[in-house]
Amino acid sequence: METKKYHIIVVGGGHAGIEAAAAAAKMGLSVLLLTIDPQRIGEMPCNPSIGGIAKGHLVREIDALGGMMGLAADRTAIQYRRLNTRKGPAVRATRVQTDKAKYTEYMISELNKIAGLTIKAGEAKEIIADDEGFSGVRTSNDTIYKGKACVITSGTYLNGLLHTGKTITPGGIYGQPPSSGLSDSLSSHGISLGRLKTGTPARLLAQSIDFSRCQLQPGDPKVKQFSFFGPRSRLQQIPCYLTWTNQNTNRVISSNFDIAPLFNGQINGMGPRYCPSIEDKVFKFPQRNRHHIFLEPEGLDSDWIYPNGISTSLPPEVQKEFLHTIAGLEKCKIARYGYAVEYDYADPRELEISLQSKVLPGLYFAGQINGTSGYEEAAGQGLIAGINAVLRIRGQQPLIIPRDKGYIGVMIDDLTTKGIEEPYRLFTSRAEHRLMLREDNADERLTTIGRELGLIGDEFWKIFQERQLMARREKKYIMTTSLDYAETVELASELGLKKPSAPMNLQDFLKRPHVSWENLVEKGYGNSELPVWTGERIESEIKYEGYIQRQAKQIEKLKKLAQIKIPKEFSFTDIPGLRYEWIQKIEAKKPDNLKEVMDIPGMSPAAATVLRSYIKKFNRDKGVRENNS
Amino acid sequence: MMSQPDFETEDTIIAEASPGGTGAISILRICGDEMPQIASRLGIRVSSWQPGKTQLLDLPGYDQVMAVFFKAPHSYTGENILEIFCHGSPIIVDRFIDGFCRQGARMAEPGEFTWRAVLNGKMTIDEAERINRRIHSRSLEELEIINKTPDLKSILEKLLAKAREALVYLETEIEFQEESAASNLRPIEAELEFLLNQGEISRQNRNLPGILLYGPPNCGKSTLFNYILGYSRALVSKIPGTTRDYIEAELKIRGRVVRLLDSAGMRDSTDEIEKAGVSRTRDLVKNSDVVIHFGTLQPDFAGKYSNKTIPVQGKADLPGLEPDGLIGVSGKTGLGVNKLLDQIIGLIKDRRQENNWQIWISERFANQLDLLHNIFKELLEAPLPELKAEQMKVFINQITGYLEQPPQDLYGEIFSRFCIGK
Repeated sequence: METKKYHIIVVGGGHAGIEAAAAAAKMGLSVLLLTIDPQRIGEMPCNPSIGGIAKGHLVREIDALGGMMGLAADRTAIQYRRLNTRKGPAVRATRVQTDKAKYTEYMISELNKIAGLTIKAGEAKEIIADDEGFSGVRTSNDTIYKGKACVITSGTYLNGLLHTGKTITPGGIYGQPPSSGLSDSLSSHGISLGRLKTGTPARLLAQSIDFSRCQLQPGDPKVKQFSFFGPRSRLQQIPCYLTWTNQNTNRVISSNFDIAPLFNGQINGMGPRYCPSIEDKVFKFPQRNRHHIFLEPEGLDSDWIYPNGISTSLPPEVQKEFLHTIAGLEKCKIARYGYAVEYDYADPRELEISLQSKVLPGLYFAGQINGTSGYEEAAGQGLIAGINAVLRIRGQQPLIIPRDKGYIGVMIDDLTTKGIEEPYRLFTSRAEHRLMLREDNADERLTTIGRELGLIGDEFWKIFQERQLMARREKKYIMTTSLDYAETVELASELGLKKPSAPMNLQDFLKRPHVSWENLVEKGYGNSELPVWTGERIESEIKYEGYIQRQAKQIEKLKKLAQIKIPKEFSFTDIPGLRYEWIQKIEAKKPDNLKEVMDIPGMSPAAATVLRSYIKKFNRDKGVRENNS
Repeated sequence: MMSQPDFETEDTIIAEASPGGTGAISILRICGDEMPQIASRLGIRVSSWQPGKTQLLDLPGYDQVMAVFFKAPHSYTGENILEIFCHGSPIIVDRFIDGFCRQGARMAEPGEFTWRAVLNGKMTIDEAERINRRIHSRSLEELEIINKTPDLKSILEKLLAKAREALVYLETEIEFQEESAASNLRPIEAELEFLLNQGEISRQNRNLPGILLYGPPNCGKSTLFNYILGYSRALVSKIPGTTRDYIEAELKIRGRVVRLLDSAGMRDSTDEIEKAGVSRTRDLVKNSDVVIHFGTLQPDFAGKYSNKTIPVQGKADLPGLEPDGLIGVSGKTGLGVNKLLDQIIGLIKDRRQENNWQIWISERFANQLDLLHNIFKELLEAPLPELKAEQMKVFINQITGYLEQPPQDLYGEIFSRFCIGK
């Protein structure tokens, strides 16, 4: 039996594991990344893209903190797109199509460059604990790795079951065995496990698709790059295609509901409502004649096409039949059939907000094991878990991103306080302060933190500081430049606006809903050298001015509530106007201050007002009581 | 907004519950946890009484009374209550109040009994408001509207459900750009407009309808006024211009309380006092609900007020004054008065949109609706979907704020407008 010692052991080499291991090692500790197959680190078992609405925001936050994902996405992007461009800057988002093979290649080579990081093949079978908490990991071949902290990023591997029709294969992802012992070990430590489900569509061979029957979806050459710090992809940029299901597709699918594992009781895990399988969509929206399908290449050298929008676990012959009803796919050849995967997750409410287990200290969880879905969600948690494992070993306070500072914070707070009922995906609407959490200001929000942690090196720090300086100059220029009437009229007509009746300044133009900073630069107003992000940041600040001020005020109010401590002897039961259900929730949580009361889901601002007045009265009366005695 | 009253809710309070003045019976209400001790010092030992049963008492120095004890929590306020029915005299009432206050009770603030009922969970704010409005309702129709108005909570919850649904659509539009789920804000706008309209009708109905008798001097206005009133109150004379200002009376017509106004006669005059009266009369015309116009309408008057005017021919009992397409009325004989009253009531119903009146909306709720409407207007004007969503959350928070407003905040807004003793 072999025994080796590291500071931190990361179990799993997916998107969470990569960020956790890289961050912990960059922060100077010795890290072991333990994964079943080191050749498949950073694999993308589902769609070949990174980013999207809210997910792009996450990538930018990971990047701003010094994580890996943004740089990797840029390095391997074969198409850039910007979503929601007709909407305001807070909800615009970046998405790239990536070359899957190159992504994995890049990640492995980058991880190999990090001093203090060891990658080993092995399947974690048992978590070993002593009186102080986590102490080591035993693998299936009985090797023991000792460590002070461990980050579990097991993805869909824990007791994974792959379903295609009636065929059930144990497995983590296609072609990979599941992890069977680890669930039992976690349970034996008292960690509560549940069951979730997700799915993926069939993969199609590109040469068998008639793309002339589909709609071309080219990338956007104007989108510069994902990362705040690295260059745009130098790879060839290629298009995606768009096609739709039709009534024939619906008919094939609905006539096979009885043999669909999702409906006949074969699959028990709860699947994501917002990313449903095609059989779910047909079942829930029978009146809808068509659902869109994006045909996405899996890489420059890959022959595989990922048909986004039709994930399924129907039997192979049904998959083939319904695919062949779709325009462009009539003769498509199937490289691999779609499947659903069922797996164990650990209840994230048993985690502290640092992502450390409350049940077993020193053990951290990140990614799908916490019930989330998506590469970006996993990476965001992995980064925080890795950082906090280091901080714990150093005896420092954990890093907690507040809800008003980042989507990472929103996600982790949601997970650890509310738990999940279906795979958790981030949405911009999950944030109370959406207008402040934008792709364009992630660096301003988080890069200083990344620097303090040691994750932002000198080169990136310099880039950041220079950009901040340029941003200040540009904002001053926009805020102070006014045009004469002739210039105003000319710019308005160039921007397609109605003829103004009076001269305007640049700021006024930027306040218009569909005028962007880039538009102004195109017309010769502004610094074209400025990175597009920074320009957007200025645009957002001007467009959202009043709203941001209002949100800032709300945040201040909440901070004040945090200062109102709840006296130990204070009883909630006799307060008129406070609902019984609230009293129960409050007493279960044992809050330290009023903000924690407000954080309880469903609590209303009115309750805070009532509580505040009663706490004041209580303290006043207490003062009187003590003076009298 | 905190408007905590600055009096203690633990005090025992007393007030007269009847309207006051001399009459058959006056009622006193005493409430508070310590009421039994205070009452016993006046020789009223409620602790030995059966709650809810009347007692006859002879209280030397006070009065012979009937009294009832309601034991907490089975009372209007949820606290111990004593009700004393004494002989209807303000002197006796004062004697009792004085006696109780000397023993530790204090005078109740307006609405304080009902406020305690709300604080003690015996009724909701909405129910309390409704009780007050019932007390002040001015017609059977109004009483019916109040009784059938759904509670405020369900009205707000309906609005809230619509707002939440619209927010889902707004968010879907933002989160899934490929989905085309156009958000529909119209149902909310329609609901708000309906409620605002009901608020406006309720507001119009808060004031008593005013009926103005209007016409040249000595055309029979005051005689008709007196006839309708049923007793002689206005000074009736045959000299033109006697009614210089106006006289008004509250009375009940066909089951509803109205104000009847007898105006100064309209004519050009050099008499300063009479001139002032004439210009006042013009305002009265503008502000009244119904104008009984003596004589044929002049075009400029008709242009402005024809929709609320009933033209009549006065002194129709006299020969030679047959009506010329007008309703002939006589305050002397009562000729045509029934027909006139019917028309008045019809016009009031029309003017006050009573046929469209479905929901009674309090002044407080109307103010809340105004605020909600302003928030919603800002939402409609927001240029970007994420800003609309932001504003929708403000709208939703505002509604939930109303739904969960603690009663402590509302004393000033609601209960201080109640009668003392309620």
